[in-house]
Amino acid sequence: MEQTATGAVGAPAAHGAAHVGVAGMWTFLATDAMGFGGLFIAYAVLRVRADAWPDPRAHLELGLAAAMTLGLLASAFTMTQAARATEAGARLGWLAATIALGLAFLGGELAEYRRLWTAADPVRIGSGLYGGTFYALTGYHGLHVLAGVVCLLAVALRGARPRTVEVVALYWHFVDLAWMPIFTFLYLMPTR
Amino acid sequence: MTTTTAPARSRSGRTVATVLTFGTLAALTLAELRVADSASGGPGRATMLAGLLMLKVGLVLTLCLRADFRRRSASRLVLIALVLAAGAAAVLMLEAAFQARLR
Repeated sequence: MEQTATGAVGAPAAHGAAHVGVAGMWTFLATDAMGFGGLFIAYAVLRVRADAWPDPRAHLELGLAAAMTLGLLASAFTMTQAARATEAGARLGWLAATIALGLAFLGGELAEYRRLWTAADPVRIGSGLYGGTFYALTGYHGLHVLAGVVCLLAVALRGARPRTVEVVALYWHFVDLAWMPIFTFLYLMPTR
Repeated sequence: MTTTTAPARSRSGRTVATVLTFGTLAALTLAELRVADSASGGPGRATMLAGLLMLKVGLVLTLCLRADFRRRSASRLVLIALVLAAGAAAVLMLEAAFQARLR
């Protein structure tokens, strides 16, 4: 559809299609931000009302989470470079690096889940408010990362057109942004 | 000569700015880890962590999503929604930390 418009009508139509793509992504991000906002508010209310809330360090692996955070930041850097690359080869290279870092993040998250699930004092989705909210927030974000990796793969396989990469970059930066409060509130914020 | 080197210089400048941005974000993340490890009281740590989070969110919004450079009302509305959601979450979490300290 976009290709037809670009080919048939020329530069103004291409510019219009890109504008629609960016505006559409911003609209989607607005609704998605509300989804994350709702989860954060639910987490805060449940944490305030809970009789007891375990210290994050009692269960969570801070070193792994920090590595995942730095990896996600690095992926935002490679995504920025992909969006700015003027040559198709360089663009694909940066996209491949972003995909690899996204997969590494997901691998870290799965390793964390596995460790929590099989620990001597396990944290599972059904084991109280703490486990439920932890898996809801990190799982919701993880699904976003997975969707981003799938989108990046699709964009790369279809030739990584600059305008498309620009739109996907917006989504990827949002995913990076959404992880920041999760890392702060779930992993670092002290109980007392 | 000037016309051929100017775009390259511009690209190089942008790359340096991007590296600086992500270097700052990584440094802020490491600062968060140090604050979380510090011996200061719960509310103090929570406030510092919230402040560092706001800095990181602001950097990503401004320099990665380039929210301030897009002169479109829809983008500004989205920016307000994002800031409000992050702000509300931060305030609620500060209250949560305070309430937990009282117990």
